Amino acid sequence: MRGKRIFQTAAVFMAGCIFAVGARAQTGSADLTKLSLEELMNVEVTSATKREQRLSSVAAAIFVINQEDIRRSGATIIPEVLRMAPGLSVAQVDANKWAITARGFNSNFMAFSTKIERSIYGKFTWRF
Amino acid sequence: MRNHNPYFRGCHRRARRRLSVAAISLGLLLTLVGPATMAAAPTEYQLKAAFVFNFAKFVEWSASAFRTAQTSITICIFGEDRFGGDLDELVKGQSIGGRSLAVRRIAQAPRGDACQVLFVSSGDPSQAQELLHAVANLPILTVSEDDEASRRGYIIQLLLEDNKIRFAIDLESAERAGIKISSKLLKLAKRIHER
Repeated sequence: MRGKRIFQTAAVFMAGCIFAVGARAQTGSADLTKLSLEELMNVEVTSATKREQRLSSVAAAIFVINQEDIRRSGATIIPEVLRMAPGLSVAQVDANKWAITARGFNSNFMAFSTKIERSIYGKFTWRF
Repeated sequence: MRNHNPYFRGCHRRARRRLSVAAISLGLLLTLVGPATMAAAPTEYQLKAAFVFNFAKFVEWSASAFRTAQTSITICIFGEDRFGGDLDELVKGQSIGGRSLAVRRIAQAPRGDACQVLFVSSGDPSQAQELLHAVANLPILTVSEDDEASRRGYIIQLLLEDNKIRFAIDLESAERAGIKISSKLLKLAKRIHER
């Protein structure tokens, strides 16, 4: 009975894992033709070995960056701070536009305007 | 969730079995469907393919580069083909200035107007050098991914820095080949060689 239960739990866990892997970043080569050269220059390539990753670097639902982390990183703007979070892909589109993408929504770049960021990060202020 | 009531135990067992069957089939389905439909962040060569496509957009060939006004732009790959179909897939259905695009793999120096773009993968340097001599005066946009390429007369040299693609342009080689490079491309180049 117990063995069976472990098997069932494992099966559910496995399915979950596979689902999580499948839902990762989706940027086919077809999408790349829609990007400008400037945008392409901000795209990071994955190496073949990047498939296996340590648990500590897998994207988590919550990742806390505290005051100390920010101070030590030397980041001066929010996108730089967000670079520290695993699973968040931060790319600079141009001088004042950043594309911050998470969990596989790579195909449509979200340009974070200052207005949107205000509403997300509350009272926090920063310069762009 | 353990239920000790003997009347319900069987019922739960069946439900659990059903759940596990569902979980396994879902897992199998995703294993099969996953790799086919979902690609990860671009690989080096998917991105390089996109750069090559963009280079073709921002250069101007002399009229002698094409047989007719409808001749497609042929991207030739010399040496080991590391794109493995990525370039073909990327240019499929695309057109630049009314010309469609084609990809060819070549083992010898192209003649005349067979290629408009020539991608030379980092392989045997002496072989690549020989190729370059053969095409130096032809209207072909030569692209190399070799770090030392600029010294050897390629028009564009792809560089990989911090997992990002950068490129250098050799204006002297471009001039010799009769290829005009858009200012947009020059603006984004990391290095420009002119003499």
